Amino acid sequence: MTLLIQAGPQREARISLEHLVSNIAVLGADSVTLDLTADAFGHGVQRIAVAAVGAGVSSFTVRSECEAAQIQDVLPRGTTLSVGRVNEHSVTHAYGLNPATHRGTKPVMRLSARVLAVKQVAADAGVSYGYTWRAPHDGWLALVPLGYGDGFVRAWGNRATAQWQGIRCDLAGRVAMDAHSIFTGTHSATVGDEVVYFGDADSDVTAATFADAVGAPVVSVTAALGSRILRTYNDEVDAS
Amino acid sequence: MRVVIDTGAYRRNLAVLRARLDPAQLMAVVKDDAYGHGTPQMVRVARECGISAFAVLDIATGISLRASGVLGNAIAFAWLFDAGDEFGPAIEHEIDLGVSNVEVLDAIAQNVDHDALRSLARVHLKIDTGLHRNGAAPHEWAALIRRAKHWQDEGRIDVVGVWTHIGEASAEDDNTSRNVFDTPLEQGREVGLNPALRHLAASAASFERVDFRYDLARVGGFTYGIGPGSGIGPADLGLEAVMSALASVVRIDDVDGQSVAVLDCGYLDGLPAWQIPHEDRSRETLPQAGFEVVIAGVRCPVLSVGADTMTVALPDAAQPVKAGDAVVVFGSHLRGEPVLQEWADALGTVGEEIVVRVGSRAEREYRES
Repeated sequence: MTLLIQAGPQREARISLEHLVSNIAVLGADSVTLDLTADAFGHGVQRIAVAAVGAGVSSFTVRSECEAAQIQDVLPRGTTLSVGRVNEHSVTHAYGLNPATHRGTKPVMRLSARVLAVKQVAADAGVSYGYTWRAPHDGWLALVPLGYGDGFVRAWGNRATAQWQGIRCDLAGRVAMDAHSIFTGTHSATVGDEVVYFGDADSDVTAATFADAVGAPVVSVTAALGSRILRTYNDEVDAS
Repeated sequence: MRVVIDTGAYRRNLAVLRARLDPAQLMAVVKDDAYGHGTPQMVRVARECGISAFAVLDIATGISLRASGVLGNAIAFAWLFDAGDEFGPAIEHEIDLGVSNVEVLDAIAQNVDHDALRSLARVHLKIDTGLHRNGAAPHEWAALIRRAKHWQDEGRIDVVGVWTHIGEASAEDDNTSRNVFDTPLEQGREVGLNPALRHLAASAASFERVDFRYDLARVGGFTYGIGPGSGIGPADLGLEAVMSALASVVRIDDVDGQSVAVLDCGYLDGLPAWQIPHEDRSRETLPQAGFEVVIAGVRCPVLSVGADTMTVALPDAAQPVKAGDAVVVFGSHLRGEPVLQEWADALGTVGEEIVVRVGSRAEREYRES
């Protein structure tokens, strides 16, 4: 059997439990009531809860009785779960969604995807529906399989940037339901190359950058990401 | 939040659209969990209505639908291949494969098992006619069709389709794409490829343009009763909304003499909470304007969308509203409810984005009207 692409997950939200633990330490574990609403705002409720307990958190909250019933079984023993309104400020802090304004916090999620196809374009060529973006000069496009069906906001097209090989690239044209294009300039990407959106250790682009690009609340960015995006956990922490 | 999926509305939309596209075939687009409506459920209904081709996006969805029996012998068309995808199972489950380059074509042909009962891979070759996403560039096309002819002569593949996506930027640009499409079709014929399914258009272009229909059109948004926007809603097309989103009133507040209802839904339910254009926005102006919900038959303007709540102004006509009252967030114009296109236009997006976000999170109920 032929595998098309072997570089790694096509769409990935890599969750740093180490950063979660570090954020909790900054906040003070005793004073944290960690909000686990909406699958821990897209981070994966089970792993987040276990890591938080390991970091000394014993108090959790969700927004509704219905959500509380759904996650009761995954919470470790000896913890409490309350129901209450979402406090966007606390959520932003704990998950490191906006380190620029919450000093000392680090992004827990890093969003990336892999190039599916590349295409050469001439200057002024229109890209994607409505041709709302046109190439500033001859160059290369890379097609990436993240679309608004994945919770990747359609309006990020022409308004946000991605990073490919350390280069900041425009999101060229409208984001479609299942894919979008980035402009990699005069160099061509290779199929399978990783494209990073936010939360990377080597960049100051955060979920807040993407939220600000369209005037959205930062908490909505990670919470909306869909199930086709694989959640991976690369920093195991001892939960005992 | 709860959504109600009206399978009767879906049937009626399919009937309207099939009649309009005839004799071209309607391929129902059911990718992305049928735009949040539930793929297996919508495929079942569409099969009952006689639809025999479905756009499923990826191989895994196609295989799961084929294996469940809901598809029967209908076409399942996949074109976005994922890391780790194996073409062997796709061929075995008779998934039609959309192919843009020689590398993928070779990978498919080499996975054909000559000894298997179903030994031909069904392939649709894709040409880029201006969208610049995937699809072979015009200068790559000759190599792709020659290779395809080779594999077809070897008995590995059956080239059943040639297709493209168009930009819908303007009628003029679409005409250009359509003309560009005719050249590769002709080149295909010259090397001996005569696919039965030539397809170019999606909802809007196939609805408006007879000359864009060819043998088949891939129709998604319109089957769910989602208008193209910019003021054009389902009512203008003889279609009706399939999904309605329902919420409840949590409490009534008095804000400076204005009665305000707080609802139990917000952006964590997938509702859009961005504001575009955003040149003059600030955090304080996050509350949005330009769309409404319905409470007790009265339209109420939305004031703000928060994480888990939304606030709406209660006009005098809406009194008395009380906690627990039902709210229609969006629904069908046939009941006087706000439709997705009104929300989408106010937010600078398309109805499709709202239904995929909301439908994938909400509790779904199916009703046949």
